Amino acid sequence: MKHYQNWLVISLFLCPALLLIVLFLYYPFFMSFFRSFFKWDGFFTSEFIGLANYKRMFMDTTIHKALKNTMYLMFLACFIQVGIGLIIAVFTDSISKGAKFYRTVFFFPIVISSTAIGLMFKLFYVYDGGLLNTLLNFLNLESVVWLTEKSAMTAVAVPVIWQYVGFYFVILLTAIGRIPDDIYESAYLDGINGFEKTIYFTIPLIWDVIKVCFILAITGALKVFDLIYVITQGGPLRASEVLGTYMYQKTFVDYRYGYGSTIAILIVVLGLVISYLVNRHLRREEVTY
Amino acid sequence: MQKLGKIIALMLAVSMVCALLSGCVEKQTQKEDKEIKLRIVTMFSGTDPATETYLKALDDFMAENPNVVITDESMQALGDEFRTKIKTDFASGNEPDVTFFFTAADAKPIIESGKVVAYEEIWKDYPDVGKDITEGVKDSMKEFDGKIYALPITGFYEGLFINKELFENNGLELPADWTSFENAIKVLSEKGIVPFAGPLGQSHYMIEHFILSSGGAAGHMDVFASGVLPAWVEGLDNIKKIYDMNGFAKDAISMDIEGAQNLFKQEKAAMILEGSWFIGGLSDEMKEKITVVPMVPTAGGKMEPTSIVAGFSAGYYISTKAYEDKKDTVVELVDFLTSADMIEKMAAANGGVPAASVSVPGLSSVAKAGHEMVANAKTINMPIDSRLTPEAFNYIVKEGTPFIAAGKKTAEEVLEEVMKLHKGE
Repeated sequence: MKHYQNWLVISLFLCPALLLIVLFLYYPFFMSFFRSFFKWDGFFTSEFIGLANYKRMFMDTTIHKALKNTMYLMFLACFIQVGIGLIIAVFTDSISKGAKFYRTVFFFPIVISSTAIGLMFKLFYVYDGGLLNTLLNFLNLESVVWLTEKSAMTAVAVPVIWQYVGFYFVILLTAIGRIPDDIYESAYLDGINGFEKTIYFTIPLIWDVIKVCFILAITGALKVFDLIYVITQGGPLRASEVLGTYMYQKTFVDYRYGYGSTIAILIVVLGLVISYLVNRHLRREEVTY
Repeated sequence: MQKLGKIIALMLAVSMVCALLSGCVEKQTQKEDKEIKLRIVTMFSGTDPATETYLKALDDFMAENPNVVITDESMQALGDEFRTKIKTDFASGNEPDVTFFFTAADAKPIIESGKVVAYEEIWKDYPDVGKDITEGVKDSMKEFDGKIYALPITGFYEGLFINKELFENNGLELPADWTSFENAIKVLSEKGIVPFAGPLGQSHYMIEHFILSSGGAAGHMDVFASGVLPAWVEGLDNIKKIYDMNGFAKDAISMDIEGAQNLFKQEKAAMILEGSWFIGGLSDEMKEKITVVPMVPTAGGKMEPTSIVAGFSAGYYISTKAYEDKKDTVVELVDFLTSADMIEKMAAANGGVPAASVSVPGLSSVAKAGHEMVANAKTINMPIDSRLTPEAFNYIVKEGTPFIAAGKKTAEEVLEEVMKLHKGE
């Protein structure tokens, strides 16, 4: 009876959250899946076209470019974003004074709106009167076109990576802080240095958290939209187009909601598949302490 | 003392009765003038130059009609968000009572859904609505079914805005034909001035004018009726030609419209293709330094030299629902907003062409030049995006112009793809 009552109370408390998640996550997702089989202008006309949107997606050269760029961002997010986050977390953990200051400074970019950061970087890169060219001119150097077909992806990747380093830093710092000191003590007696301590003790002990960071970085890279939209709108010459910006263009600019839904499904499927693969390949024996 | 107390008690009693009675009277008045709520959505918001005039008009209307409460949900039509908002509102049954929205391709699905009422229907009961708008303008608002659904206040025009001072200082005449246009580009480029502020990444106005310049009115009108028109190919190729002559800024391929406008406003560029709305954002000093002329025809092209892209492409719609529920008030509001007085004020604010026969006071020299250009135009052409599907037109903007200019695609390849998208293949 008691067990039944507990179950009832738990279910009652979970109901609002379940209702919200069904209403605002699962329902739109299944509707997107359903609509991906239609030629739909989003408003008044809708025609069932079977798999035509999927066929079109596989042939679409812009999708190929956007996919390549998204993968590039994903790679940078995993190795640069999480990597820098880990390095500064290890450094911050090893200092006794000023840790709180560094924690605040590194976390700060997260609380700034992406649109504001995007606008700031756009003003950095502007050819005529932008910050970078003003600095070059001050040094008697020629102005440079910063947003070219070759450089655009790197130019937008800088703020994307920079903004979320602090997020992984905080997660990893918290994980490192939870490792009991006595685990390190015997190693210290053996005379290990800081680098060995990080490689042989810290990283294996927080491996589960690093794995979570990788999955968050992967799914985060798939969702990147705002920063790129503000800085380049996917240009020049589609050089910085990612799946998020292309989906936005097809849906809300071209009014091809059906095709936009198909791209949304691709983003979800990629997120699930890559996260699963990462989770599987990075599986190690769990260390409890 | 007792007497004084009685007097105070009596005064209190009288004042209470008065308050009670006044309350009843107020209630009675409210009952007679039942509050009517209207919801309006327009594009007069944010930095739109007509915002202040429009908001004042709503206040004036509410002051004249104390029982009317207007909820204004206007937003500036800078990107596509405004279109999306209006279409979503109509598709979801949340249509505003009065909407100031675009006509033609944008309005077609809304009209077909029967959610807006034709003025021919309204004029049966209210023949005076929009009476100040000239008949010619009303005619130009006719939709695919020959009916008028939107009443305009000002029209727009697009043209080649030229910094006269930069031209004069460099010994150049204003371009009248393609040769003088190319010569100006060459001279200005050599002197380190950006000849043409052209945002190749957002080249909407350039596409219009370069196609008009080589195809003339008929070629500009023809959206793939018999395949890809050579005039369209020539128009897009001419953009590349100007690019190869260093006619645009070094960063033209990554530049957006705001970037191009800033270049022109800061007098670092001598020419820009823009619309009448551009004047509202210029300083008074700049308005006197510049002029606007029609885009020059290409050598041997079919364009009549006075031809321009212009028209009345937006107006006030009345929703069917509002016309059924509160027709008197909603018609009265639209009549007020489209009166000659309001048209004059809005035209003075945004520099557009008035929809009524009014003289707009205090026009800047560039606005006067714009009005003259419209008056002298032998052909007035609506923009290409009012005939092409959004996806097809955006393909020219995103996958066309910048790629053609950079030499990565040919105009033929781009237009073949645009035709397929337009025809839904």
